[in-house]
Amino acid sequence: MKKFITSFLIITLLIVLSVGVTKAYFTSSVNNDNNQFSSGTIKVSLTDENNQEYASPAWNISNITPGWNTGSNPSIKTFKVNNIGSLDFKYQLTFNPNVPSGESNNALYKAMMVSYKIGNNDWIDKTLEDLMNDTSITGTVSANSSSQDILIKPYLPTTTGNTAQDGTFNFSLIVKATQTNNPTFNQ
Amino acid sequence: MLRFLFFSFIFSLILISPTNADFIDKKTVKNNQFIATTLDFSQLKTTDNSSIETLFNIDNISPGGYQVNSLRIKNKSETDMNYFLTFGKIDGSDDFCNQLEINLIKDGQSKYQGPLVDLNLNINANNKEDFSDWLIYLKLSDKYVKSKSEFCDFNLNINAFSDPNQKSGFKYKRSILNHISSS
Repeated sequence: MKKFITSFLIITLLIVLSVGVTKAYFTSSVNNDNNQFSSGTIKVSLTDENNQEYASPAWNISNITPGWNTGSNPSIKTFKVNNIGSLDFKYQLTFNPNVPSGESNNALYKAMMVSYKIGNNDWIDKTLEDLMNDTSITGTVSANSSSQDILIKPYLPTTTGNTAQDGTFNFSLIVKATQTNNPTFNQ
Repeated sequence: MLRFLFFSFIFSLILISPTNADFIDKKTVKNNQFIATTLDFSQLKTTDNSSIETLFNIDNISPGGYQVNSLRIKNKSETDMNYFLTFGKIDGSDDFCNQLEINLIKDGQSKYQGPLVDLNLNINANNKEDFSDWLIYLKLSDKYVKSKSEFCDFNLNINAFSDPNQKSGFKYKRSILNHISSS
């Protein structure tokens, strides 16, 4: 038995030695260092005509009567949608109510109108209610410090009826930007 | 076994469904508000500022007879308010109502003097908490000839408008009851 074990160990050693011969191929390599993948950035800011970030709120108007802001010298606010990221983006600007519509006097936002002008396009009139949910105020801004101006003039038509009296509309103005090829972002 | 395979298939579908990982950024300008104004006023006694529901309540008035009352109209709106004082017949004899005359005096000046039925007086209450004190003479014409028992029930209407031209805009109305009879 001892001889058998000795023979086995010798044979195993011979196999290991025969397999463990060195290989001496000619090889060469070149390194291409410092490669990287980095994602682009979507970053939006909303500023006024003097490039100042909008301090909240943009509007805090009380005591509105029919005919408010319809005169010859209306109050018009400029909103600059700035692309401060590295990717082109598309955006939506919405008037987002702070309370569910059923909990406020919705006659006011149904009656109020908003005139807006995107870039060099024509002025468009919509009801405030229209601008709460849909994608009316939209655009595309290319990367690296480009911007688009949006002029907004809210007003209460002189023909507004009595139901809007004592109405209140609290809201946030939200600009949302995403990459231009985002298929889930409607415009 | 078949059931196991089915649920395994559904589970696999859920696992391999694509995730939506688009880049999005958002900025919010908060706390904006639009508040519409309210038109509101009250009709009060000048003695103690209590509310007036009835101004004149006269029975057995004679030709040439009159009564004087006072009325305070207080603007409780947040805005300027135009209001109109008008006559609104409720019940009674047209002939008798036509024989009633009214004189409305404010700040020592007569603002309207004439037939009650033609009353349509425009007043501008241009300050919040502004109030107007009125002296009101109501008289049965000297020329009235009593032939039978007649009466005139009417409202003194106070119609407030945000639009001075009354064409549109917010409005608010209150009425004060009156009863005049010849018997």
